[in-house]
Amino acid sequence: MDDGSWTPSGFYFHTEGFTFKERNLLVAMLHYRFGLFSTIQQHAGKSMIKIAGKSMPLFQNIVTPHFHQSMLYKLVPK
Amino acid sequence: MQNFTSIFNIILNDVAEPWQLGFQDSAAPGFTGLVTLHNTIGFYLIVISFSVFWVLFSLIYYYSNNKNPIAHKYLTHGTVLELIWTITPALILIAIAFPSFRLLYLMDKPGLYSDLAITVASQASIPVSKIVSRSTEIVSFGVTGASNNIRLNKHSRNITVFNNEHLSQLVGHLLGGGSIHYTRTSVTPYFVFTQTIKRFEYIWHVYQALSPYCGRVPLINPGLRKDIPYPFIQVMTRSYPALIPLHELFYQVSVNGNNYIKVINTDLLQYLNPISLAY
Repeated sequence: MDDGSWTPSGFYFHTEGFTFKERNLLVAMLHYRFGLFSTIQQHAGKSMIKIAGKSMPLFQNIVTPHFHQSMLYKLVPK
Repeated sequence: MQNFTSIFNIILNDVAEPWQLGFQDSAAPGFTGLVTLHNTIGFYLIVISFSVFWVLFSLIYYYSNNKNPIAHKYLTHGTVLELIWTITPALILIAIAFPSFRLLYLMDKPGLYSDLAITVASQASIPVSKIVSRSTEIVSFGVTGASNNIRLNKHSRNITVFNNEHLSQLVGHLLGGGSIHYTRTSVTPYFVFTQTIKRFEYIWHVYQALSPYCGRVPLINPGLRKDIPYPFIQVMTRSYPALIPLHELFYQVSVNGNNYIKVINTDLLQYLNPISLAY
């Protein structure tokens, strides 16, 4: 919830603080642990992890029970 | 030799023994407070006993009949001296009274010393067939919010553990807006979560979840980012030894060796779960 944001095509994790190798590791762990497919993308020079569109339903299922009310807009846009 | 050195390496197991000096390890925070008070007063006791007996024996020695056969009636008459030895005990009494009051009233009211530890209410013996699980009687400390603005002693922080939900939440924050720091003088780290004031509702939720570990309410910071006001709020926990593993997981000494930088390594895998993903 802290550093994520929603776009029509998928969910972004803002991971600018980490190196490319670390981001890669995170992507691998997301797949290993949750079966989520994600990619590393560059946007305006900032590198983020994006949950792939096809994994979005799974992602929403996983995190919705633990999301705070005020942050749900990041998962289910109005 | 073995026997001689062993007196310096006493292992304090929590059992009573014959001719024991000192207390057993405390099992409840209230008793920890009592031991702390005992030590505080013990300090004054030693200082007072030492100075009183020193003066007493000096008088006996230097003004004995052999050395000082003639009694000088006005020799020790001094107003300043009398003022000093009247006022000093009063100050010492105040110094003892305040820690004592503090402990007394903390033990009295529900709060730190009564619901700090996980406690199970005692009950009279009942038939085995009537034993029911009464999970509501296990109380984790801080449910009353009473731990705010109270400095926990080292023992209370040492016995604190983070349960899995909190641990997962901290891991989630550490991947985002959270960080773990050591103050310059401390050997145990504390956790701090920073977020813009716009998401106050969310910050308050985070604070409420972590409030048993927080010594104060979230701090508002009138921050500036590129000369534009960018107020943010920080949720800060006390420093706990239980946070050391998380610090080791996420932080590495930087190349120049001056500070820590956040890193991701494969050990993170065992902490990843839906909760940490959600935070």
